[in-house]
Amino acid sequence: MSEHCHKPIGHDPGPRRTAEFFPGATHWPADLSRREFLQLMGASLALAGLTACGRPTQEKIVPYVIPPEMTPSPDVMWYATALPWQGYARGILARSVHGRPVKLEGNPDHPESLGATDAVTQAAILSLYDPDRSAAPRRAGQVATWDLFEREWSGRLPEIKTRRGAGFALLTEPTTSPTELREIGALLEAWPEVQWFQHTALPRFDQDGVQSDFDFAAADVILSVGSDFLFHHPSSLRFARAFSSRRRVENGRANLNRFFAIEPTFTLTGAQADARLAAAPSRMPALLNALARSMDGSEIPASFTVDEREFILSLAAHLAGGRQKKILCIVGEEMPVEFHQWAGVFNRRFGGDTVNHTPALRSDGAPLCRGGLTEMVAAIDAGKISGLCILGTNPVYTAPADVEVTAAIRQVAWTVHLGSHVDETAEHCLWHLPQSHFLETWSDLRAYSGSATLLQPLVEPLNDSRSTGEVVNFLRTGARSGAYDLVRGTWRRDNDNESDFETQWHAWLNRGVVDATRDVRSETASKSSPVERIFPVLTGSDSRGGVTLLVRADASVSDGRWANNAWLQELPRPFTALVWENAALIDAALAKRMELQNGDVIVCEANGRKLEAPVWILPGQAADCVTVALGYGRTHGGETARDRGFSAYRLRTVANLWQQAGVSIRRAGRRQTLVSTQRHFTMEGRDLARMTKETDLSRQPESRNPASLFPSWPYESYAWGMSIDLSTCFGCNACVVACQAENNIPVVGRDQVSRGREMHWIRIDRYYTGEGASPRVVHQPVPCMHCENAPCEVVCPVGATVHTSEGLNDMVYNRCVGTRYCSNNCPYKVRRFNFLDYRAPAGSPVYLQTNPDVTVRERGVMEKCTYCVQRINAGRIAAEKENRRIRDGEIRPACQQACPAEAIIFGDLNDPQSRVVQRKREAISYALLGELDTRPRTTYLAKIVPADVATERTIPS
Amino acid sequence: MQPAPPNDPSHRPLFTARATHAVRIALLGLGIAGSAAAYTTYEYFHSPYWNRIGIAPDQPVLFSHRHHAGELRIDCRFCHTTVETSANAGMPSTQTCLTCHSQLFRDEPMLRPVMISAEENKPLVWTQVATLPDHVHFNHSIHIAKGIACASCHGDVTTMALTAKAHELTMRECLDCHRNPEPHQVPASKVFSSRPVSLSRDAGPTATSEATTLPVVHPAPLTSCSTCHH
Amino acid sequence: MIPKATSEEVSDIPNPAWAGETFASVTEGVARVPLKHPSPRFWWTGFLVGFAGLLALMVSIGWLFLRGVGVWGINMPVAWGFAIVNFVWWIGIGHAGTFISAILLLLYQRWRTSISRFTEAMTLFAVACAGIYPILHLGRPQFFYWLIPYPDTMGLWPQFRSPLIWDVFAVSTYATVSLLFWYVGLLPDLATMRDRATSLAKKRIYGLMSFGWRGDGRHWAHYERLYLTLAGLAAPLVVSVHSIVGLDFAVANLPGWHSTIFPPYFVAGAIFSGFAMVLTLTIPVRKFYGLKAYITDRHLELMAKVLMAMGWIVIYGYFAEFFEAWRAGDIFDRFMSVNRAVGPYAFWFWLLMACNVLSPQILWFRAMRRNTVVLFIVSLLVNVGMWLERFIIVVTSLHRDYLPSSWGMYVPTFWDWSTFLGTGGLFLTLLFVFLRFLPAISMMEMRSLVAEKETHG
Repeated sequence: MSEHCHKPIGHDPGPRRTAEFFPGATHWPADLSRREFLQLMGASLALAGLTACGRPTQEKIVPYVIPPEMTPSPDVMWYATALPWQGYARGILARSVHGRPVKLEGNPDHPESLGATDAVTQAAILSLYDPDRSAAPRRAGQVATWDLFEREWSGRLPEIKTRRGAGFALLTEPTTSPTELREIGALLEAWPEVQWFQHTALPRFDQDGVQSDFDFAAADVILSVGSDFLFHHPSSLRFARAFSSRRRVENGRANLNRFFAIEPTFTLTGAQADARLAAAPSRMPALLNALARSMDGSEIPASFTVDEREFILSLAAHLAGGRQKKILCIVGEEMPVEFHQWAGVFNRRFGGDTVNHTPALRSDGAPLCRGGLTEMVAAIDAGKISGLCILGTNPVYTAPADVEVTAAIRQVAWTVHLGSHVDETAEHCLWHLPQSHFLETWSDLRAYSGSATLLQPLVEPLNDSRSTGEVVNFLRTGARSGAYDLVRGTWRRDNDNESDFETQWHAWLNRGVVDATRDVRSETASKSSPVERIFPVLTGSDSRGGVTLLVRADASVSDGRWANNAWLQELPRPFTALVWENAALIDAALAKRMELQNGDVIVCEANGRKLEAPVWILPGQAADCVTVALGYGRTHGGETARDRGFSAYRLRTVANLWQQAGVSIRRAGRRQTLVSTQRHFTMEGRDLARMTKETDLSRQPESRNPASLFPSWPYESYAWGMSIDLSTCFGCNACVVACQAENNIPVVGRDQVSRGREMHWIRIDRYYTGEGASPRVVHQPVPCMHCENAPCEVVCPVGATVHTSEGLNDMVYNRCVGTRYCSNNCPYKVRRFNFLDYRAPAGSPVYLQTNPDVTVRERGVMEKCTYCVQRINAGRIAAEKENRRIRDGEIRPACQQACPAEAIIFGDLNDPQSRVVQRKREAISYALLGELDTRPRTTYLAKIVPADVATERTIPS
Repeated sequence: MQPAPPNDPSHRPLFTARATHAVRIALLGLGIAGSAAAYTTYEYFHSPYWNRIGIAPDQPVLFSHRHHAGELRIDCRFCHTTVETSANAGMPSTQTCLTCHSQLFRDEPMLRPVMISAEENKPLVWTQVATLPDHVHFNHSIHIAKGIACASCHGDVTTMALTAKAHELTMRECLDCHRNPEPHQVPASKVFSSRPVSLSRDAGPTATSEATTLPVVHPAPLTSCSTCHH
Repeated sequence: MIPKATSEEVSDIPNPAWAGETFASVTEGVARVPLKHPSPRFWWTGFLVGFAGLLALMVSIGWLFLRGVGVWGINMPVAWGFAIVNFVWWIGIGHAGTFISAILLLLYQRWRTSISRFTEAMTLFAVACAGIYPILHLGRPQFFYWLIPYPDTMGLWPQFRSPLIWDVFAVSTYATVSLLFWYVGLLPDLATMRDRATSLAKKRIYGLMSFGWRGDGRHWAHYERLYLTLAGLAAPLVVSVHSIVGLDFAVANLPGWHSTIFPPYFVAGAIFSGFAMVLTLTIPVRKFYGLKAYITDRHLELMAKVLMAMGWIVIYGYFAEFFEAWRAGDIFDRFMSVNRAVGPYAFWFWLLMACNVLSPQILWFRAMRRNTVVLFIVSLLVNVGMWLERFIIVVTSLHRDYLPSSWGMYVPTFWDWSTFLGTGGLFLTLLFVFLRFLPAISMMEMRSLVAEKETHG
């Protein structure tokens, strides 16, 4: 690996497209007017017959003029860098083919990745090639240049210098980047009067400067109060790995932890709980108080429901007899501060060494910072600000409704916005400057656990863009210096000698982590809080009638920052499987009371503000709670982002960012179609996603292979197979996007999904089981099963889907004529068909992302999961060159590589030592629809349920 | 049933004898023409012309493999540097040409394009001779590693003044070898040798006699579709 | 050429001679339709309606080839829609013709004579309509020929275990034999047309088409042998074609498809719909062309009886499907059966039952069987019913199969309908061209009936 950046030039075969269809139709836009159609009909009809077989093409080869420095295989290079996750680092390895970054993987050496990724990380590569990214600076809406901006700024410099920055303000997003913070610090030092504000619509991960870290691998009993630590946390990947290590079966035994969750609306974490209590925020204080008292042996009030009573008793029972058990409590960032104090007490009483506190790394609470949007608006209204720089944040869209930020910004005489898109804020600023994608510039970031990572570019900026650090530095110096020098400046000590630093620098870049010795972070953990062991009595926000509105970041587009990423937009949201839009999630009882069905639009009204939203009925939603996701209703910021769903910011207030009681709702009297990739959420009494009691782990399995008339296949060399663990999969969707990125899977758009034509090769089925206020959720990832007796193979008339000598069920795109019989005959419905030409229009920058090892499918052919056969082939070639067998774990499909919970294991069934064989030997391993005798090579481990926690009602017999 | 009685004045043969013959011949000819057309089509799509065998495409530079690889005996890998390590054999950069031609024949008009490319930093644009469809994933390095000689697919370039396709490179040709690779494997020393090793099986025994050839550890998947199509 | 029949059978023949028919009158009565072109308003209306449909078909196919099969309502899980439904429906209709001409011929059913020609033509046109769909429904129709075994440069062959390959052979064979059978039957009549034609051009054209038929003894000897042989060949095809179409479904492991009863049940259904279509067409045609003398109420009544017989076999098929689902107790089969009856497509299921199960029962009454209006309506209902049956089989089986997570719905689009109605147009167009230029009833065979009457004194 190296820090040199390559332009996408040189000998690049480019994306692989089959071009077997006649020219008119191959690059056909998904929407075509009748007029165009009539124009082209004649010609195409004429061509239709002729173009079946083409003469071998003569393509062009473009070699380098001056070759880049050579590595054994110049085609593929890996770079260690990091993805900025709400200001924290997520270590990644970026794959670059012929100078084109094509795929992001987790960095095994990075403490917050451990080799895994989440959906957003997988999708971030697409944003690099986003055609809607702003390409050039704009002044007052007119295209301008950086020179122009630089000159204009230099014109203002003297005045600012003389006034020591008075009247000038900076608005940034909280970050952990040492370089950015160093630059901002330097700026404030130079001009003390400059006012620095920070804004993010998303939660803050520290409590007044102290951030808590948890050891989920050690904890035997976990209580989560509205926390989504497996999915929405800077350390979620590490937490997921640790947590799943305590949910996994090994050789018929599992050292299971006990997980209790109280939450108002489903989180992916809460869905994993052994006992989950759906409680409205107004109800929570009473519950926690009762829990606290019950630990001191007092009775539970009679007013409590059966569910609540059972939950508290069960939890108290597990907390009792505490010393030898490790216990911890985690509270969601969205919860009010007193809950965190309550948890503090809890953890001091039980937590012991499973919880430790470190000083906050992100700049939310930076002493030099003058506050957030409210303070900024106040300053502007007081006429204290005449120049404003908004760097990498979009306040006009993300501000709470009661902060008049738009008007305020318009008051300021001279405003600058640095952003990746011309978004809502850019529209109201004098200047808009394009911000570099993190894969095309130098920077640095810290992980939640503290270790720093250097961000290195894979390509030179595709647009004329700059990084935040560069801009801040320029503001101060008035002279341009590159991000490379800035970052090196941060990490270079004066007493370093050149060569030592160079070697270290290279080492850091290679490993993707700056070694701790060089870490400039102060290690003083705050011991300020007194060891208080008395639970504070929580006083609930009295519910003033109406419903409680819960505001959460969207699982895909977050606060809207990923809204222009088509992969994330088309990613089925957890629990609802909704795509391309958000909805107001309500509980069944409320729906019944108000006679609402999915898609009925309601009007939410709170202190004078209105919001119209279609409802979606969600099991396990707390009574009278309406959950809405941020990130939609964008008016600017890209074709993909614009006009999808509704903006939940309109009801948000500074006082009640995350939950707002006393919201009145009424029917709007209209309906709106919501598009979901899954329409049925019950198993209809079928044995699909299996659950098993902790006590049955070593129960003898039923005979795996019923008698078959077919002769079994011989496998001399390898026999590939996969095992998926339903206990550890928590439905984070990372595998789905990873697969999409690896296999050039197209995005089909909302309309096509509504027709049931989504293309994901691996999908996550979600089933709700059991009655009660909070049903159990099972997530079941379903890729191709690669059946031994594959129903698809026998019915294909042209042999386009065939069995290989290693047990794969091949799909040969270029042989497929598209009868779709294979899909009809597939019991798992994992096959996907190109009903229309779903490829991006020719010449779209999106093609730069395509994986050259995978054919881009043309219209009219079937496709499906291949077990990432291109990786298998690469692995086999590598092994064959060295005349050895492929080692276990050497080949990992994209889904396995991405999975933070290690729920997916792929390997060679002929190797008795392989991990996949170990897993398939488990008694609870089973084949989906095994009774059909398709003999799937993808099998599942049943979801383990600890018998002593879950109430019988939530476990299906 | 019976046509009109003979005394009918309008009775006159509807078709003359010649006309009847004409129709019969026409019918016959139709059959012959049909089958002829079918056969011609078949031959055409299997013809060297269709597959561009022996037809050298226009190139920016009149580069002669016969001269460089044949007479000067320059090793294939001198220009096709990554053939052993990567899927692509690799095309020589302009710099590679200049290693010699910065001194030799630098003012030859024939070499102008190379010089221009170097001066203007504009790559030379060659036309690919041996092309596979995009849905075929071919990897040079493994074929070299397993002792498949360059000449097996590219023919004896040392005899080509202008480089042209030597084999059809159809799927059937690939399969012939993948079904039974041994006869086509040559000792590592001969992989880059200019001596042609034809795809026909007869070249086999002599070729594999030397032990230096790497065996294919797991030949089974060679004929799986996904070995080349994925 | 017709096998000798016993007298009581003869007495049962609706003999045109009773209606005072002679050789001349029969020939005149039939031949005047193509030659004199009576009631042109009827013809032009029919033809133009059909032709409009044909144009619609052309546009639909153009749009389809431009955009892909995505213009239809198909999706995952319902990957087969109207295209397959229509294919099976048309193929089914195409069965009556050969059944009547070949099987009834071999069974000495002489009343077939007056309707055989017409139904054979209908068969051909229906098969033509059906034949389009398997190609249209391909994702990449330009490669349809990969289903045909031929030496290619890839060294590949079709995958012969797939029923779709069997279809290719079954349907093409059926089409070929039916065509031969029909044309051979036409030869003597073409000669008659040649002799009766007025203009030289017509004489020449009919002359060419009749291959110089002179009707002498040798001609007749060869002719009869050939005709019987073809009948022998065609008879098994009637059974084979739809059995194989049935296997397209039976071979799949889908609840609602995976059933051994499909082949016989499909054949019966095919003849059922075929006869329904024959009735639907003959009733107006014989009215407008005054052919009542040849296609008598007696004919209609006999066809009505066949209709009922076949109807009951189909009803048994329905029953067997449900009974098996209940008896075998497979949860997926059971769910499928219940889902058909009460699921999202329940309305169409019950409409199908009304059309195919209830409506034919009215034919128990002789009066109804002889009432052309009733018969016409019933035949229409059965046509609709049989189309719905195929729709129910294809769609309701697919839309809710094994994994509830993948359940979906199928909603036909504009282009689904336009293609369907378009093939209807193609069918009508061909039919009316046939009526216009060829004798719709076998004159030669009718004359042989007249001859019989005279010999029987």
